[in-house]
Amino acid sequence: MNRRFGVITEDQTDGDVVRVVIRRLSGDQTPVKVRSQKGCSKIKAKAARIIVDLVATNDVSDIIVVQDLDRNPTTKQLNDEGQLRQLLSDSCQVRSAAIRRLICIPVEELEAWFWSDEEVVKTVGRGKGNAHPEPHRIMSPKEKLQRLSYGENAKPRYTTQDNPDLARKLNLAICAKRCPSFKSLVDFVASSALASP
Amino acid sequence: MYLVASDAKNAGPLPAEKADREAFGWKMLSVELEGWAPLGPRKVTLDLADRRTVLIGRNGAGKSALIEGILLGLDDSESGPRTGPHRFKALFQDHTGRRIFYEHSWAPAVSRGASGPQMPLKGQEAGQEWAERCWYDGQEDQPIWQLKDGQARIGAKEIEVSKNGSVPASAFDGIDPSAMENSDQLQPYLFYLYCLYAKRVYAGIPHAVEPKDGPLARTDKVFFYKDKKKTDTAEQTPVEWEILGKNPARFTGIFSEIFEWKRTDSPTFAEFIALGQKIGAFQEFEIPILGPRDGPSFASIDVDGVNVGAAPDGTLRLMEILHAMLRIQGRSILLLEEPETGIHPGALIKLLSVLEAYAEDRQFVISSHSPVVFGQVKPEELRIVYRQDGQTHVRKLDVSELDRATAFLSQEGTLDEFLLSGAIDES
Repeated sequence: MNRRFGVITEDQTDGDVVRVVIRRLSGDQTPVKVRSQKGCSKIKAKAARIIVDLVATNDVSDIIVVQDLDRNPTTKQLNDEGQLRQLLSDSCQVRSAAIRRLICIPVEELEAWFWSDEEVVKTVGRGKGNAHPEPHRIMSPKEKLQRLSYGENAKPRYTTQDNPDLARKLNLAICAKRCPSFKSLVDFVASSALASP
Repeated sequence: MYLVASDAKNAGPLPAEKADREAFGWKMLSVELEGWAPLGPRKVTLDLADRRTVLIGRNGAGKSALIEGILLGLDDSESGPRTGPHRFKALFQDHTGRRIFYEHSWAPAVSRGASGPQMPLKGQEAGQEWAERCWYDGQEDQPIWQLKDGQARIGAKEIEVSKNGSVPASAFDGIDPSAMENSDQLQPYLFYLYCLYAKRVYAGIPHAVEPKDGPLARTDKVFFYKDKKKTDTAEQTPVEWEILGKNPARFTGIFSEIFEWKRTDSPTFAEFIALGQKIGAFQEFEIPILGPRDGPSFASIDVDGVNVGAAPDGTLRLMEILHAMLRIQGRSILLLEEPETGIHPGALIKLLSVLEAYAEDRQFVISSHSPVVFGQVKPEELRIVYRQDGQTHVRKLDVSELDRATAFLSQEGTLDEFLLSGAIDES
C-alpha cells in the first residue's frame, strides 16, 4: 500500500512546495493532502483535529507539519526552536500509533531553502545571485529573493506564487545538505517508503 | 519646487543605473499634514512602515482624507499650490541612509465670487504666499534650498521667483545634475527633477464611475479607433488611436495606457499579462487589431475572449491595481484604497504577495476594512486611524500592543482576529 501524506502548513504556497518535494521523492502519483492554516497559532490550536480528520477522510499515514521559526518583531531575534517544536509536538498528539509525524521548522521562512541551489537563485535573479552555503543564516530570505528579482530584465518579479515552480527545479541533494530542516523532510519521506503500511 | 516651463524636467536626467540605485533606497519615512480641513484643525502625522503601510479604522475616521492629503501635498510640491494641505512636511531617506526634510506651506487667497468665497484656481498667483524648503536632518537652519518672499536660494544662487513660488526655467541654466553625481549639491535638484511620484487608486470598481452622458453599461464594448486618413489640422499629422463609445475617465485611463504599452512594444505589457495570469485576474489578455489596410482600424481589448467593456467587476479591479502598480516607477508611492472591493479572497492574497514583491522600490499605503488584508500583513505595518473630538489621529501599535499582537499570533489566532477583538480600540 502506498503511503499517504498529510501536510499542515501556515499558508498555501508552503503546502504546495512540500507537495512538490514529496512527489519528487516518492513519485508523481503519491497522495498528498495539504491543509493550510492562517498562521502558526491556528496550527497549534487545530493540528490534532486536522490530523484526525485527515486520517478519517483521506486515510493519511504520514503527517508533516511545517512551521516557520519566526523572529520577534521588536527584538528581531529568532524565537526558541526547542520551545516551538515542543508546542507543535504537543499539539499533534492523537491516539493512533500508526501515524508517523514530522515537525519541520524552516528557520525564519521556507524560502531559505531556495538559497541553497545556485540554479534556483539564478532563475529568480535572471542570471544574478549566488547560492548560500548556510541558507538558514540568511535574514529575511523571502525579501532577499524579491530584491534579487528586481531589475530591468526580471519581469515580473519573484513572488511566493513562484515557489512551487522553484521547488520543481530545486536540487534536493544540495538543499538537504545545506538546510537541516529540509534534510529532515527528505529523510522522513525517504523513510516512509520503508515503513510498514 | 515647480517651474513655469514644464519641459525643464528634461534638464538633465540621471544616468539610468544611478537612478535605479537611488530609487531602490529612497523612502518616505513620515508625512505631516496641517490645514487640511477633512482631517480636522490640527496637524496629523503618519509614520510610514518600511514597505507597506496599512491604514485601518472605522468609517469616517479619515483614512481616505489622509490618502488624499498625501497625494495633493506631493502633487503641490511639484506643481504649486492647488487645494492640498496648507502645510505639508515630509521626511525622506535617500539610498545612503541620509535623512532629508521637505516642507511647503501656502496661504490661500480667498476671493468673493457670485456664489460666495472662492478658492484660487491652479496657476492664479494672487495672494498665494508660497514658501518651500528642504534641509538635511539636524540642519534646519541651513536649508539646502528654499523659496520665500519671492526669492529662491539654491546653493549660493539667488533667483527672483513669482509670489506663488514658480521658478523660471532659466534659473537652472548651466546646472548639469549628471556632473554632480556624488555631490551634496545634487540633492536639491533631485527633488526638483525626481519629485516623489504618487498615484492613487480609488475604492470601488472603475466600471462604476458615471460619466456625464450616463453610466457605462455592462454590455457596452470598448474599442480604440484610428482613421488613417484623419489628420490633426494644426500639425498635419495622423491622428492617433481614439477610444470609441462611452468612456468614464478612470476606466479609459487604465486601458488607454495598457493599449499604449502594447502599441509601443513596452516590456511592461508582458509584465502586466504575466502578473494578471499569476494572480488569476485572467487567463488571456489580447488586443486584436481589425480593419482594412487603408481604412480605419479598430482595436478591441479582450479579457478571456470578452471585451473589457463587459468584463467582470473583480477582473477590472485587479487590472486597475496591477496597472497602477506598474505605472509608477522607482521613488514613488501607491495610495491604494480598499483593494478588497470585488476581489475573491484567494486572488486578494495573491495580489498582496505581488504588492509585497514590488515594494522594494516603491511604497504602498493601503487602506482596508478586510480581514483578509489584515491577515496578510505584519503588526508593525498597521496604522490605526481614528477620530476624536473632530480631529483625525493616526498611530502605530506601541511596544506593548506589538507584544500582545505577537503573543496572540503565536498562541491564539490571526491578526484580523486580534484587531476585530477590540484589543486596540480607541474607545
